[in-house]
Amino acid sequence: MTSKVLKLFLFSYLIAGLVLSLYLFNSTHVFMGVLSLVITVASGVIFFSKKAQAMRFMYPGLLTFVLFMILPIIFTVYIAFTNLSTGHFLSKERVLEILSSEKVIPKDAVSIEFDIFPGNPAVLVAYGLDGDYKTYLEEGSNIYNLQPFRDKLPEQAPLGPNEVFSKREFLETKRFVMPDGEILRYHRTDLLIQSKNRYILIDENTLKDTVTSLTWGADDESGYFKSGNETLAPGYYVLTGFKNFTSLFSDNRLNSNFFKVLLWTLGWSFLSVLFTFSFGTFLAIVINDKGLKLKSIYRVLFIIPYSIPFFISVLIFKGMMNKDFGAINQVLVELGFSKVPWLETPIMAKVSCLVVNLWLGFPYMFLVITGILQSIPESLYEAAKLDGAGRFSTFKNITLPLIMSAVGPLLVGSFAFNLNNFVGIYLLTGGGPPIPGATTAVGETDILISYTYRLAFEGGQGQNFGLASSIALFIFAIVSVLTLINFKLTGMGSDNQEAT
Amino acid sequence: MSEIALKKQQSKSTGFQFKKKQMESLAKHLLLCSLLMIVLFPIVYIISISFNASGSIGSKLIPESFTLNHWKYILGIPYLDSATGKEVLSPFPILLWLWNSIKISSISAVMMLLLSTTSAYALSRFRFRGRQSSLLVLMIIQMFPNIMAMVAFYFMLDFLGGYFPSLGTDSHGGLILVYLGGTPFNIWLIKGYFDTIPKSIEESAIMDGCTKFQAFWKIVLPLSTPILAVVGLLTFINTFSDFILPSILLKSGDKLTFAVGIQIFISDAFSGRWGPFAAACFLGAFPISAIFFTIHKYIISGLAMGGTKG
Repeated sequence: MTSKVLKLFLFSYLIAGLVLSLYLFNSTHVFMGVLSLVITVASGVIFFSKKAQAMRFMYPGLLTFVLFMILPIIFTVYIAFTNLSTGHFLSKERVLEILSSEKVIPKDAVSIEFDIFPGNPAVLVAYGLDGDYKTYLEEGSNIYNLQPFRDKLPEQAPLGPNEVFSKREFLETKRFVMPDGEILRYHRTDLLIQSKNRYILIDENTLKDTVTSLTWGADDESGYFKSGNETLAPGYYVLTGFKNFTSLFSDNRLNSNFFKVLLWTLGWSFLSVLFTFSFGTFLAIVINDKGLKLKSIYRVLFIIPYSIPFFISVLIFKGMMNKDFGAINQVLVELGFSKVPWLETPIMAKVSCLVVNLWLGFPYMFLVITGILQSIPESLYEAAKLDGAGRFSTFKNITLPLIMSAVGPLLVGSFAFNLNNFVGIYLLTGGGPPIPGATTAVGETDILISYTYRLAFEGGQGQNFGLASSIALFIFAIVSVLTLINFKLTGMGSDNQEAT
Repeated sequence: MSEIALKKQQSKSTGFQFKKKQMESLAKHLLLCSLLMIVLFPIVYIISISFNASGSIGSKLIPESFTLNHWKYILGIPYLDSATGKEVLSPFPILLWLWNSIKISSISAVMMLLLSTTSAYALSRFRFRGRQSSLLVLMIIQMFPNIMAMVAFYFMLDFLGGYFPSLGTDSHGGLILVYLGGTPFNIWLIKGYFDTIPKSIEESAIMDGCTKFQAFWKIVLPLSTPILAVVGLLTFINTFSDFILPSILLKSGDKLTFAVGIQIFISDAFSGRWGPFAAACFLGAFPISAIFFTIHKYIISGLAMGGTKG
């Protein structure tokens, strides 16, 4: 019964997929058509082949994983090698389309008054020098042919200027063609005006400008139509090879900033792990004491910071670290200290990020180390006691080595997390304070991921998706190295089980 | 030395030891309590601010007078402002943002479970070509956070939105699709749990005429409720807490998630909206905190090791 329903469902799914593919092919969206067809055919093969039982179970998870993890990664690599950015958003074909439909109004342009008479459909009447012309404003068309007519005008009053003005978005996209082939366009609420194409398409790489009589040639290196040193907007996106990467290293101003960001990213991740791990371990050891009362209450209370979504905690800290009004400076002033510029100077902003991240992250380490401590057999400590070992040497020779042997992959994981801890940086400082003299949006506390975000989406100085993606590839590289280290630590792919 | 004297001495020394231990535990309690005061200060402070009548960023830590106005503001209940005498109604749809977040996170969690359990089952039970390499690929890929590909996501959804507006940018559907790419980690977790369920149970069911899918659906899944709950809730928490993807992909004010909405709300006017912001923080944090504490034992036991925030 269920299997019949399932089969029926699958059949209709496959048919729907095929219809969709056909539709997409028909509407010239070839890429989507191919994608849809591949997915549909693969589904069909997998669900109806007897051999592919394992695949049938794998398929749904695999599909989303490929579409929304693998494909985006490949796509990111591609974008990293293009100049996709503000002014270069469109493909060359699209830019040609836009440029070749750009209209100019000639100097000796003819303009004609017009009225719109309401009705279904409404009627547009143009009052030419040699007589009146009319056309019906039916929806769905972009070109209206004006026909001469000698009858009486419609009886209703025409639309007033305000009513016409409110329809201007509709009217601006339309062309009105006179019987002699002249093209008129909406100009004012009472005027249509003659217009013609500005550029004449000579071939797909050359445009002839009818106004300045310049010839614009496509330059596929810069992604512009060029004439001498002048460029036409909009530009288009092109593959630029390693240009984004070389600009990270060789462009002097960008260069130093990129290394600054890279160094701080590594330093921030390392110090965050060091601090959270040290404090978490310290706390776990203090609380993991058989004689200590209220142990479980302490454990719960110390985990609370970790249970709150990070973005909330970080925003709270941002308010509390406000120099003039923030709660922390209030307390400091009451205790007789002076105000601290928590988020204002480069050094203090970095320290603040680390402090807040310590608050966010130590409970995780505390939780895990507590788990490890509880798994250490009591007999080990008893044996050490019998051998006369002091408390410090027990810690040094038993507790610490046991923690370290279990905690390696965890520290690497934590490092990788902080590498991309966007919230911990961006919501606290916004990446700021800004690096003086920087040409791109970049600040003293920016890490690679927040730099990527700001280049691509903050927009103050234009969006540069190509450069942002090339920085994302650096993150990719660092995470790859970390993954390799983790494999070594967990012993996958080698026999080396030693953790450091 | 007489026996009594010896006993006295003994009791003296144990008394001293006892005292030393007591002193030590007292010192520990003092240390832990002062640490707790620092650690919990922001939380206590924000709760106090949410009821503080002055409620600006510079208000005193201990409220001088108590108010519910900040709560009314974020819950969208009109109230009379005592200073101006005018009725105030928040123009910000904070509850809607919270609802958006809950909706997106729940749908993501459920769909994630649907997608990852079957894959996990295949990897746990079937022996097929490419199984080992699939496991390896999953292991590697789950290290890479999807936000690295944020630029690509933006353009993919932009493209997709041209065909299906409800899956494009500025749509919840598109955002959920992006989250569904994160199956590897969950597949990994669930597969680990399936491995602990003895195969013999399903084998006898298949002998009795069950299909493989029925065995999976009717036997293995019900036995795995704990891990499914944990994975679902973890996905919920992680999706709820995500900031970067919704901030890139969502634009209109009524579609924002809680994270993005509240950030815009407070960044515009840090000092003026501190009171309502405090209330909103509590409102958003409390449910997540509650979920966290119901599953945190699983997190310690190493199930989620390395994969959650930390």
